[in-house]
Amino acid sequence: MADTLTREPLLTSLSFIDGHYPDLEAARADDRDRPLAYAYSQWDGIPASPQFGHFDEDTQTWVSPPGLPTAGITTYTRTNCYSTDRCVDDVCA
Amino acid sequence: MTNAGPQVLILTQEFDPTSDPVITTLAERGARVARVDLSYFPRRLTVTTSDFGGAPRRRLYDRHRDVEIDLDDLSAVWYRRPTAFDFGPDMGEAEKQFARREAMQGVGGILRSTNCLWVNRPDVDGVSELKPYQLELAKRLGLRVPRTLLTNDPQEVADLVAAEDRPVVYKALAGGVIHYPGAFPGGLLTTVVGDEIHENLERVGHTMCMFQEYIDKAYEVRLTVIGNTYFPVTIESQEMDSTRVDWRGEDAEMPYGPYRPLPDDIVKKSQALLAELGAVYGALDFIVTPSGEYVFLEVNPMGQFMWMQHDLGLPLGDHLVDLLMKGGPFTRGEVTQVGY
Repeated sequence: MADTLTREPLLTSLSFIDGHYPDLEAARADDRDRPLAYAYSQWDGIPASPQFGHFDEDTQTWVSPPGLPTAGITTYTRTNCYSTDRCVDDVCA
Repeated sequence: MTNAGPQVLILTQEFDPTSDPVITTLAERGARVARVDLSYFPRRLTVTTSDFGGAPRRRLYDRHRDVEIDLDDLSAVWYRRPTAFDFGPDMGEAEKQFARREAMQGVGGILRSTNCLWVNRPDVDGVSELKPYQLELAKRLGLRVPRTLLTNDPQEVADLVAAEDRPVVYKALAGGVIHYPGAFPGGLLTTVVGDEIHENLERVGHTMCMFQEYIDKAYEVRLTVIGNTYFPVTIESQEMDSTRVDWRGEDAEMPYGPYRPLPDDIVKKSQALLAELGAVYGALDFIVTPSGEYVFLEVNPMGQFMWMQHDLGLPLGDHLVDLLMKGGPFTRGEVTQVGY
């Protein structure tokens, strides 16, 4: 329980929001120092468009500005995700 | 409070598109919904239990919204994606560590003491998402699982690759890698191991790695289980290059197949697996081989589902709302399969 009640910021969809920059050290320059998984990771390194919107306290939901899908948020990273809220799975799927 | 509908507590962050439609539906059906992120604690959220001064009190109080939640009045808690406690910028790191431990014990213990339905309890999620445990449990229950090597020993991997005449895949245990600058861990799909493994063998030693035999597929099934309701969705993963090894590779049009109800035997074993895990909700992945055999890959205790509701019109959110409003206790029983 103690380790699972709250999740690290990186393990929640908060990281999809523009402006949320986790406090990480710079990546190692030498790939040999990185876990094997990085050798198989596919990421173009291009973040998606910045997100807009805000949390509405009354409806308790995220509200996008006019013209953008409601309950459909452009993700910041695009990794593993569609362009709207069609995240296949941001845990592991 | 004039609305006497069931009280549902949703623990998640403010940005969680999966929760939004469920919250809207809950409100439309008359439930009292409180969405709380644990980052509200302690600066915005007050958590109190007391045996003093009359009747025992157990409550959360969101000072910002002036909303009080009686923990003894809860129908259900939907545990989604709450973020970490936020003690503010003025507290030192050492003090934050102490405060976090105290909060974990206190808030965690108080929430665990609630006598209501949890979808799912965080401790259940914490154990359920352990892939090596899932695989062993599935095997014990009679499900076929891929032969698996888990190791941080490069020589074990070298020996496996040398000995196997069939393809082997590398699959992460806990999702994607973290890229810099920060991003949600992702971008890591199940990958068939090729010659590149030889020059990367030493990197196996940096942490645990999982390798599995590659299973030939006819198609795949994403099974979402909400209580005793099963939503098996067929994915014709062999129809597209981007989905052949890992269907998460497709980011535009998922190649859905026709609705195919699960065989009784798979339903029975899936129920047994979820019962053993104590999970009320789960998203299970299966390969179906050309001979029709189901091969269990994994269960995601917090797997997303809203994408299938959008694409296929499956009433996943509605069923979750039903479950949350009905409340506990939950017992695994007769299964209803829902098609599309």
